[in-house]
Amino acid sequence: MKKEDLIDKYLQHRLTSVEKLKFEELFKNDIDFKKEVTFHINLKKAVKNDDDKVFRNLISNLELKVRKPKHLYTKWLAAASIILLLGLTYFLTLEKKASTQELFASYFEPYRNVIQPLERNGNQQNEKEIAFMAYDHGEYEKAILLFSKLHTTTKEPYYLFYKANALLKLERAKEAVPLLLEHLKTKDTLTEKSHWYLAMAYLKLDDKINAKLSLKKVLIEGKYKTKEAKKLLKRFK
Amino acid sequence: MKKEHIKVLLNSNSKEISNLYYENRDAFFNFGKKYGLDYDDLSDIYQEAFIALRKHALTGKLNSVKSSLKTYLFGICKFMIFDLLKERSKNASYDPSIHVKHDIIEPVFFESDNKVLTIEQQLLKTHFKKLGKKCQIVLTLFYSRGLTIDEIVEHTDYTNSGVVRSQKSRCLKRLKEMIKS
Repeated sequence: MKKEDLIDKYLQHRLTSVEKLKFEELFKNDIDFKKEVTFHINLKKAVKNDDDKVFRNLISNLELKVRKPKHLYTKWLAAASIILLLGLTYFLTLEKKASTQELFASYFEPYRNVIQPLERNGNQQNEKEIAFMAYDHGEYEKAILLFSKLHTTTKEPYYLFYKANALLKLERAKEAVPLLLEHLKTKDTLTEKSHWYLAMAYLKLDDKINAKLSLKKVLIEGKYKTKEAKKLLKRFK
Repeated sequence: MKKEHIKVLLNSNSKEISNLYYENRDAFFNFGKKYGLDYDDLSDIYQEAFIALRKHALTGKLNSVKSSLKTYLFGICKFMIFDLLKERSKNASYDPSIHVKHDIIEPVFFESDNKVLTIEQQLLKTHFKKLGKKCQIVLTLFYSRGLTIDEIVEHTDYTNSGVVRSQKSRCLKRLKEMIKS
């Protein structure tokens, strides 16, 4: 049996006991075979993750379809609440502002660098490495400049995401919002995290309505910071 | 469980999934109301339980299930309801038996997996999304749905297993090239 077929059968749990022995022997002694198997295992996880996400979106769209009437009703309620809120006193407004700022401070932290692992090998670094090193070292101004430049040249969506994170860290939430909205339109793997950071940006801007909407989207996605989003939503009630 | 229901879950065709999803939704809301949960909670639980049901189909767990799809799905829902009630009454001592209503639905254990992808896996996912539609379909059927090459021939317009095999190899080659560049 070809090595390729052995790997295919392994991935689908269809190896016979004889084939299993052969597989284990190759995995132990053949470095290239081991490398190939690892590639396929990783690919399986990546493809599964994508397939699950597509299915999750399908289900949340089905649910949203039947929830529409309720949404319209809640929209009217939300509109009525805004009018009520506008009528609140100066004192209450001040307190509200303080609390959203507190929430931002306790919930926000820049997303870790998963794009460019830092290697200190002493060789000459390229711009991407310098940008992410600046980000990792908290030199956000420098990172922002480099991310902008790199996004213009490469069009890689993740630069939008990291630039927005750096801006949020520098409390420049207003500039972070359009970047995150643009990032959400892309097919980047980090987009499942963007709703959370968008919620953080709205929180910083004291825009509770949009912060709540973004947090609800975090729950629909169900992948990242769902527990935190649930907690934060409760704080808004 | 009916084979055709498992097939619908495995194929994940949006029209068929939509029918199956709505078929039991109203009944679940009536069932769930007994536990004192509000509309939003029930809606979240039903979605999550349906996603879990598909995961059980993909892992082959449903093949040995004797009960109907509805009973099994409600079993997952019930497990999730208990979990939620437990979480909400963390400060008070919780006894699940107080919530067991007069029904025959057994809770079905469900382990949530929110595993974050490693850097390599994220990179693979990014490049996978850049592949053509044909590649994405073949690789999804093989890696995520667990279909064999022959089963892929049955489910698609490919005429024979040789064509699927070479399509799959081309896609993998392209993916490896993308990662190297």
